[in-house]
Amino acid sequence: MLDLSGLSNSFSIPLHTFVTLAFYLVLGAYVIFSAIFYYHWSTYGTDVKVTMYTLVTYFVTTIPLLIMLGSLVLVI
Amino acid sequence: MLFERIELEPGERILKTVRKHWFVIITELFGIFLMLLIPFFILFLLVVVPHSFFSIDLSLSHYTLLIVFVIAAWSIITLMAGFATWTHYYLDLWIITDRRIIVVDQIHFFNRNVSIFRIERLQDLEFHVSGIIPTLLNFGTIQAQTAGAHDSNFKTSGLPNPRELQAIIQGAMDKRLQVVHGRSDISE
Repeated sequence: MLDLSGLSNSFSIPLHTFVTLAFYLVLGAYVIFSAIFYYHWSTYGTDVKVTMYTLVTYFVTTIPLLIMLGSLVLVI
Repeated sequence: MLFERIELEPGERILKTVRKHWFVIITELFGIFLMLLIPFFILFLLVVVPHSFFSIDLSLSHYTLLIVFVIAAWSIITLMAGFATWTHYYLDLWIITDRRIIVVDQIHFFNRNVSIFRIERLQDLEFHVSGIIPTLLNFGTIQAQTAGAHDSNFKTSGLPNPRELQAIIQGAMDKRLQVVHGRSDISE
């Protein structure tokens, strides 16, 4: 097996910082995308029911994942 | 909502609203689903492939939280891609009224074309169904050409039941021409 202990010294970013940065990056992309997504559906949607189902499904599936990501940042 | 923005003329009726065939969105969403499985596939490979194959120690149990984090982040990105695909599918449509054809082409979030042309200006309407799956599932490309100073073409692929759509537009055009020109011989 290759000894990687020496390799870890060459990384200047600790894992926690890296994970936190990744989280903020994903969070930023999510917020921007959500705003655009909501705007498009509320402006150009043709059916109120479909618009509502789409938005509810979107937030119900993504928000728990985002909370999970945030929690993992605190743990890692 | 879109229909409030289109502002139909007094007495104008919507005959049909058409979106792309379900096969189109299913194919695209299946691609997104495969994307969602990529981290699991990589994990599977790491577990299945013998550890001696790698020259470094890859003990996954040491990185469980990090793996969960990466999978969750990847899932959010993939879900966003999936919902973007659904948005482009659902907001991309043809609205056929008894006076106009409105073609909404949602290319990207910030690239949206809305073309409106009067049905009596329609010169040529043709459809193509090519391939085994489009023939079996009955979907194809519809192309409409209007008369004008600048010849305009409206082309959308993956529309369901193109023959019926062509008949509806043709019928609406004949009726409209009768109203506009008072000609009774058009539909004969």
